[in-house]
Amino acid sequence: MQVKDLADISFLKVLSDDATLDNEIKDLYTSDLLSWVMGHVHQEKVALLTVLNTINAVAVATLLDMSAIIFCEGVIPTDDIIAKANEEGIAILVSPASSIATAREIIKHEG
Amino acid sequence: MNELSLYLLDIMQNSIKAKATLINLDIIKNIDEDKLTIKIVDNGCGMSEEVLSKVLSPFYTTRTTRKVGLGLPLFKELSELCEGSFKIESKVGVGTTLTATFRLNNIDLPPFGNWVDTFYILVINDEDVDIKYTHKVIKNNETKEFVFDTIEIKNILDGMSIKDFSLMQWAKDYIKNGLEEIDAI
Repeated sequence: MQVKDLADISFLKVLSDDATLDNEIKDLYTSDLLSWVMGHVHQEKVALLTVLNTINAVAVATLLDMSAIIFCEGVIPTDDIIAKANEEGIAILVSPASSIATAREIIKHEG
Repeated sequence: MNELSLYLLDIMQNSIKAKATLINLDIIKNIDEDKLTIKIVDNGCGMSEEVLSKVLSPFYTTRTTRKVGLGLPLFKELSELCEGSFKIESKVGVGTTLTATFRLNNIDLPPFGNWVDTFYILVINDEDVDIKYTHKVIKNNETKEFVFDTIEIKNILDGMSIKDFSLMQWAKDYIKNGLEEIDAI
């Protein structure tokens, strides 16, 4: 699955540059404790679902070679987060739904 | 890091990497004010104003193996999440002082975790680095205090290594009992 496939889900909105649309997503991970994410994500190209509106989320995504961050529950990332994510080639998406509801929809969409 | 002890390990290891020979660690659990204060003062090489202005950015690191440095940014984030504050001061050739506060009853404040073992890892990490650890508990206007000072311990040991196995067990029990006595953790 690629980021552009997620754009087909009606309630998901991509905020990062078009260059991130081709990012491949191999798995999803949801957590709101970044240090926990650092210790438990052992795969590349994961999409992180979180409500943590912080530049540290982009740093962790960079460290772990993640492909996307999906800010859930209506959290809108600040401009500096989006700019840094674009610089690092990480897709930024937003969802009004909870992390689990968003993940459920993505899994359903993937078939 | 889901334990405060792991944050402290990471940050105090920064002091050791900065060639500190003395680290003062003060932890104050003020139940009356619902506040936890953690202060780390080292006499390491210190940081220039330029480095200090970047050190809280997760995309700044002195490491060459990766492009992000998350120890300080995550600790700062945790203190803010727990309705506290975070301050870091540094001067080249003098050292660095870090002060973080947390609201004790904040639901997101992680536990200390295995603090005794974690602290002792720091003690034996480098025998040339001395650590003066003071833990205070303030309750009903009464202050109880536990102090573990490696300079004092080394004086008593008179040349025996602080890494000696029999001593390690004694020291860990001493710290554990001392902290339990003042209801620190």
